[in-house]
Amino acid sequence: MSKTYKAALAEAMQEAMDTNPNAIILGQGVTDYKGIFDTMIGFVDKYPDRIIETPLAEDSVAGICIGAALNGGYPINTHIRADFGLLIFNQLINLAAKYKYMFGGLFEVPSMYRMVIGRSWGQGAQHSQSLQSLMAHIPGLVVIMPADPKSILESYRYAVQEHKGPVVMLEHRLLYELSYEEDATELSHPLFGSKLEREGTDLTIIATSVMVLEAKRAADHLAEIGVSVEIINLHSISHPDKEMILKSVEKTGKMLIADTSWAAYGVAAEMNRIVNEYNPSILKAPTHSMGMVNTPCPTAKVLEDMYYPDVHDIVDVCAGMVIGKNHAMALPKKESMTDFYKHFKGPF
Amino acid sequence: MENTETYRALFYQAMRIRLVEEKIIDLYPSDLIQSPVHLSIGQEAVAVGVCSNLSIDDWLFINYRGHGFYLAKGGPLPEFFAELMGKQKGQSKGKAGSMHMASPKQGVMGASAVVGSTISHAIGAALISKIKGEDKIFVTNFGDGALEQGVLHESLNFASLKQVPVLFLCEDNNLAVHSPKSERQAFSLESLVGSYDIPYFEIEEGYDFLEVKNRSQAAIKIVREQRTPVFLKINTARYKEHVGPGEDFFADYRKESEIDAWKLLDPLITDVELYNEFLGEINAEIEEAVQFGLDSPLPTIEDLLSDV
Amino acid sequence: MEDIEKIKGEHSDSVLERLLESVAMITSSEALIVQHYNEDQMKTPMHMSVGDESCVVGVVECFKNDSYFFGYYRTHSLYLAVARDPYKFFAELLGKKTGSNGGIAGSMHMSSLTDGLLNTSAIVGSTIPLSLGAALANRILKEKRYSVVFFGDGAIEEGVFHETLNMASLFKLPILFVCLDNGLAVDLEAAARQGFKSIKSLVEAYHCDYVFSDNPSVSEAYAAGVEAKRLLSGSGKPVFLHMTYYRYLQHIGITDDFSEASASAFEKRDYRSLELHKDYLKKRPLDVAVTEMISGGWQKSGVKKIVEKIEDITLKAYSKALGDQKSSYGEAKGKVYFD
Repeated sequence: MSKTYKAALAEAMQEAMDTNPNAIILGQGVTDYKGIFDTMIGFVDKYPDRIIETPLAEDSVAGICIGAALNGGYPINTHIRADFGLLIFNQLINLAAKYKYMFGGLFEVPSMYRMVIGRSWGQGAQHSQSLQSLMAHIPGLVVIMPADPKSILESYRYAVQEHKGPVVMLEHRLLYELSYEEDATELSHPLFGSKLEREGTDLTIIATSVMVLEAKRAADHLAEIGVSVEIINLHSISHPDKEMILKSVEKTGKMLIADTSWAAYGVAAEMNRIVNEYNPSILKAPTHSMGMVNTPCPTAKVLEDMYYPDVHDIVDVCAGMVIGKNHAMALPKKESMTDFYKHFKGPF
Repeated sequence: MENTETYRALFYQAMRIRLVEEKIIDLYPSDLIQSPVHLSIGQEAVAVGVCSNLSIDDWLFINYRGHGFYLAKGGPLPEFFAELMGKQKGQSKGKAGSMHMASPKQGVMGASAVVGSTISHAIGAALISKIKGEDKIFVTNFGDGALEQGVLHESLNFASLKQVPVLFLCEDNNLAVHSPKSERQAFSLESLVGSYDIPYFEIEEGYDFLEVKNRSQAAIKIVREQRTPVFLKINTARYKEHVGPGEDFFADYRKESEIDAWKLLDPLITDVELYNEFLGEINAEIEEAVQFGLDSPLPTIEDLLSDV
Repeated sequence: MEDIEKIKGEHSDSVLERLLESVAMITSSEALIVQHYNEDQMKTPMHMSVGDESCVVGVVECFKNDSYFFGYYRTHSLYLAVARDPYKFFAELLGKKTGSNGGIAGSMHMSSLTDGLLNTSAIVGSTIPLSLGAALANRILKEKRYSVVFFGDGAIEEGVFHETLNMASLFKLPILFVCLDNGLAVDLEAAARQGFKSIKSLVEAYHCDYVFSDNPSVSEAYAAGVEAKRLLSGSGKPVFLHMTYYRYLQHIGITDDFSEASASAFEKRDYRSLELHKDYLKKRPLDVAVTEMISGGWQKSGVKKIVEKIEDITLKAYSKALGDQKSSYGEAKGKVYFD
């Protein structure tokens, strides 16, 4: 049984609307005929007062979500690019994240903020950011990056039905059209856990979002040359499964973090912190942090291809860490991830 | 007769707020209250006049100058002092302090220190109330400084578009910290609100309890009965400095004579007879509440780590 | 509006010629993009300037030599009207080193500092406050320059518009706010987004002068620009110039909302009138400009020659840019921090 990422999103949205009569979805484009990249088709007819197309006023809309949550609604705020999410930081960070704590537990703000990470085809500096570490840094926020349909269904359901605070979901644009086969891997917790995707012995790759898929592709190549990698899908950025991570690194002694954003002060930095504070001697070699090049994202395709790491880079680094720097192993061709994953026509 | 009773009741509530604020000034040098305080002295009439038209179910979204509204809406006094003193029995276990007063049981929604940041909350709560078919109304209280914030414009637009039962309540003391409106605003508020087709009311005599009560009642009636937004601006005067227990006329950003002129119209100062009549009773309540705060234990490490 | 009629009649021939040239340049550039986009060499999302040519060219021509310009992501008409450089334009879209921004900006963020186009951005409303900053700087530097900022009707809903308009009026800055109003924010009509009675009533609450031009031809847009400039230089108040235009294509991409080819992922279908569309197809900005010149006394052949000259220049520019070297990452990397 296979399912696409976007079909899972649609299912999760439908379930939220069906199980909670006070759930509302707000954002630019939610009433579109094709609603938010096919995740909300027909919703505006099915739930007439609860799908709210908003004026261009992100800050106030985020505040509206808080007010709605306070009055028993479950607001879902969508942003077709995570970059626009920056406009809600005042409400998200100064208020939603702190509302329960700041008033000593008097209130709760159960709410969801869906942000789409742009990628490829000239998205440029302002349509490509992946801001998980900025938000995961804030106590009071839960930040997840679901990398497959099953994770979506489990974590969105938990967010809507169980969790009483704000949750940010960062969804990668390249994953939307992809079709996944059902598998047996499980999240250790829908919002506060990670997933062991693949077992291995030589090296641990901790990956986020689309990089999980890229790591899997790399793992197949590496297996051919005798390198066995273990892959952890981090899933929860704010509350990763530390036990799983440490157990794995303790086993393999080597760690590569493959994240969708920049390395400095990011997910990679946090993984290194976790390991070092536990016991640095479990590492048998220096760790490696793989992310976007430390610049804003350029629009030109040839530059974009240099900007993002891909399967070629992962294989190269892993072979280097396990076999040695001059491993001289055949590497998969340097191919833009976009060309491999992009199944949609058009730039957006 | 009716007027006198209503007047007495409003006077009592306003005087209670003033004496509470003055008690805070009294206690401040002892460092019992370690939180910046934005006092409501001079602005009490707005809170008591408007809140006298609200029921316990109606929701009021306040800001960091929130003591007056907290008390006028019925927030409990003992827990108020405990909160200011950072004690465990405070409204928010001591974690909120002066700038984040709240009391959901009486409909006082959390105050925020970021100007204008709770205006949109009222809109969202009102939006859901439409879906739920509720009767209550939503009031968002902000100062004249918030009028310049983009979020006000966005909220007026949304409220008008969706026709939600919100009262935009602007408490205009003409100051954003130390700068007057003339240095900050180039728009005509009445025209701006009017361009959104939202009814606009203005009360100049913000010191007059009955005037505030009666005229705000008319505005609130529209929100309650028609379930549509209304804008109400009430002029008032801030006697003390922006934050803190003192006065700062020496700083010369405004004339003390302006405040003196307002004080001449302030019943809490001019109606000495009524003031003296209520003094004992109010002071007794305040003493008890302060004692409650003093007696309350300090919050613990569990309190630090909870409610995240 | 009688001032505007008078001004129209007083256009010197060279201004009219420049107006036509600019409109023709944009029209032929956009046509080239439509023709070649599916070859996948211009890898950048395109918010096409098919419809707003007259408005943008008219205003830019009027403010050209003594202003800083700011725009939004629908940059093509603005860039070409200000810089008049189709070669750098195409090089940028093709991701070449020789592009207006070294191939790093792409369609949504084109700029040209030397020509005074300071900033465009993909975030709605985000360049509005920048225009005010530039105006303040000009005041301090004692440079007599206007700030002209272009935005769509959607940007008016953003709080930052309110904040900036307030300050522009408060500080009495010579800022021209140009609203290019096509009635749509992506695919949502104004009535569903805007709770205010009219843009005019909103703007006038800020004591800002308001000028309106309904679907202007390029010379009408120029005349509106002249009127705006007159108000700006006299009063010390900002001016809001509201111009409506028809958006022929979808919000983004090279197809219109009616053809079967509109495969864009998020846009509605059947939300626009085909009849209206057919009507507007008969009065495209370039056609209108040509007709106006001819009825104004120009020789038909002369006008045709101007248009053909521009089409030729544009095509040559595209071909040249195609062969240029792509931008290199090393160079791009060095441009992150300002030294």
